[in-house]
Amino acid sequence: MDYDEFINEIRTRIDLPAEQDAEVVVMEVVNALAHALPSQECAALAMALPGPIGVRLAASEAVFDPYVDEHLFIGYLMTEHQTTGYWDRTAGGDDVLASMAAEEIERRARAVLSLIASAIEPDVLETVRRALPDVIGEWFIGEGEAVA
Amino acid sequence: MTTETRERIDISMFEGHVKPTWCPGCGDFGVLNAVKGALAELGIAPHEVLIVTGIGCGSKLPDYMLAYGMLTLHGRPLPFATGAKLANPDLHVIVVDGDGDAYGIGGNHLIHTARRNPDITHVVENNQVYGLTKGQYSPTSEHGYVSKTSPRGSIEQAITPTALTFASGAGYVARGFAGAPKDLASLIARGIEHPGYAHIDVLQPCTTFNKINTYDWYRERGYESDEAAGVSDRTAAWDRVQQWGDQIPLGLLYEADPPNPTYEQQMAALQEAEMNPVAGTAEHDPQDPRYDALKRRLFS
Repeated sequence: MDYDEFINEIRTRIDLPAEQDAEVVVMEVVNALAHALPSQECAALAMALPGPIGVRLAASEAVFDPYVDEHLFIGYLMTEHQTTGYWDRTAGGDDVLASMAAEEIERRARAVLSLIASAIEPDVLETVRRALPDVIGEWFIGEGEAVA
Repeated sequence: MTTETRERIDISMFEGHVKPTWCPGCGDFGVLNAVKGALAELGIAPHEVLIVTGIGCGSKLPDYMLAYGMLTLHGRPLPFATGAKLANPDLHVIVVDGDGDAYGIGGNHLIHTARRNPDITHVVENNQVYGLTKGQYSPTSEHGYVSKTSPRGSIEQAITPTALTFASGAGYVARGFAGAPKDLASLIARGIEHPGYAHIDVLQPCTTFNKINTYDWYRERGYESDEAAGVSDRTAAWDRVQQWGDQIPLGLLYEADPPNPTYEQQMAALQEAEMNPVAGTAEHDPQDPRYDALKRRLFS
């Protein structure tokens, strides 16, 4: 699977309007993986991923942090996600979207990780899954508990 | 607790039973992991630590871990923590609150706690916005920041918290990042070991209400401060604690060497002086049991 096919598949799975939106989601997941994976596993995964995605992972200056869990993992995806509603007239606000964001963000993360799982060799997948926090490792194979 | 027992303290021992209600991706998760990690690294058991908080999203932290916790009034965890430490000097007291609680409504206590120097560790979850109340600007929101209470941009200058506590006399000033919880855990652990008030300003995103200061925003600007340059040099430290903008130093920015006397030590010394105004005279009673207890506290 080449880069364009990968992005198009993600756009379809997540039902995003444009390829650029899918690219953002994929790169944020890669960003999160760079922080959650030790360097050896990170390098192995980078070699197995399609073109620019693998390059982005390999070139990341992120340093593995053993305290990064599933909550921090999805933090990178939250950056680009709409989390508040319309502007209201009080000093308070509408945060209804934030409460639903967890489900959507996790759906996106699972979509990217499961596609990565299908695009790489099983032994690389197993190496990567073992090195990640349990919940994230299970997202690759469509299992695992919800974050929220 | 024996050394062997301390070595068996594991981070899982601090696992709480309540699921956090923080937003997905919240930086508070990183602070939570770092606090637990720091305590485990030091071999401090859950019953040996008190987490004191104020009001805010981050102030719910003690609900989500196994340790003694005390959620106090908005802006007032520092005086509560000072009292707790005086009442039980053997307890490890950690204050955890946000930038609104610590630098806004709690700003006065921040200054005086820094100069008073009780042996407590202060972890501030600085996401540059009021999160719990849904998105108003805070004392650390940058000039021009657009929010619900600054629709045309904040007209106030942001404070630099590390400069504020340094100028107030803090003997330990550090800055961490919630996206790097392992490094943050080390800073918190060193702060706990530091005898006196330790201020750790933690940069973290509010994934719901602050789309400016994100994980990537902090990563692009944060750099590891070089401790080899001398963390105890006050002149050099003054530059570090003030630096902000395109380059934000992380790590230990200043540590007094030797450490300043703590509030508890000086309180004990005052009481000891009252009991023993002139050593060797008739007023001095070395058999007074209170004298021994105070001496132990003074020289511990």
